[in-house]
Amino acid sequence: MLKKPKLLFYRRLSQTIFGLLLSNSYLQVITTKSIYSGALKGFCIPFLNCHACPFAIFSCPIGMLQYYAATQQLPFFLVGFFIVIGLVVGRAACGWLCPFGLIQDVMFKIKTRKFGIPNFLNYSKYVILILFVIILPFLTNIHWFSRLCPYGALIAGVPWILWNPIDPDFNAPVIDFEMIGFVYFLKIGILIFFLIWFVYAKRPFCRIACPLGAIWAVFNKVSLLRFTVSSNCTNCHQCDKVCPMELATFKEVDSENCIKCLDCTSCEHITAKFNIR
Amino acid sequence: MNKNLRTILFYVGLSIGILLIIVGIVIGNDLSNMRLEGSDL
Repeated sequence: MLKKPKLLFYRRLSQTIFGLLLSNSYLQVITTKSIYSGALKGFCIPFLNCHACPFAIFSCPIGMLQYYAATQQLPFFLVGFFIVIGLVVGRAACGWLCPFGLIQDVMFKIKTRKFGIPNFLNYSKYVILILFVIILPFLTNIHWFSRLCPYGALIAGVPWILWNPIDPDFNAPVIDFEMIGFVYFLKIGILIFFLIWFVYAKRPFCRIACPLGAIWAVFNKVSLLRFTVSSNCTNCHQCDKVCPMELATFKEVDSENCIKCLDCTSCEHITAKFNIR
Repeated sequence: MNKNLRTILFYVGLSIGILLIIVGIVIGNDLSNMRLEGSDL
């Protein structure tokens, strides 16, 4: 009998309140018709959240990394932020805060035939990080990942196009439809592709495409929050059945894909610990 | 991973991370100066 993860309710609550609602709570956009650009936009959050979203109040760390690459500056503060958060909790923000992760978790609940994801695709997120977030923006001064990001399309690209209010400062629509070209439609295509994939596989975007997940993944094995498997583990595979990343925790403790959601601790043989050793 | 190596990596990494954050703030390379450019339409 599969046990329901003990902390799942709290995780859903955290994903919804902190990830989805609090980070996207700029309701004044309804009257100002322009994105928030106050002091809080100077801070980034440890999960993907497009700062061009009409309701966003914080910046996206990947958007910021691209900005520094495109302007050819060394992002001292941002790298320090990645190192400190990564060392303390590893990929926990992916499991506990990321709203795109929540969407994937919810869509996977749709009852249909499910498919696995080949392991070699796990490495593609590192290629995306290095190529689309660092090298191409550095060489072309264009934020390539933002241009193609499916989550950016979902919470910023699509809402702005559908709403397209009149900007009170310029007395003209915010979006000039002549500016919409091939890249926009490519981005929408990528979004549709992933939305369909979410129904058939567990968290495909997190596993193969998320550049922020790739950054946190590097710290998973040395972060404070880690797991131990007891020696009397019976290989019952309960952990991989409940794991939102389809990991067999008993074989792959603190794997680079582990999002520290603690769902696997519903098995008595797996425990989470929060210490240096 | 060896526990001692992990402890050393943790402390060295944390020190470097905190140092980078401080350097970033001191030289004005923090996030407050970032030009906003989000989802490209």
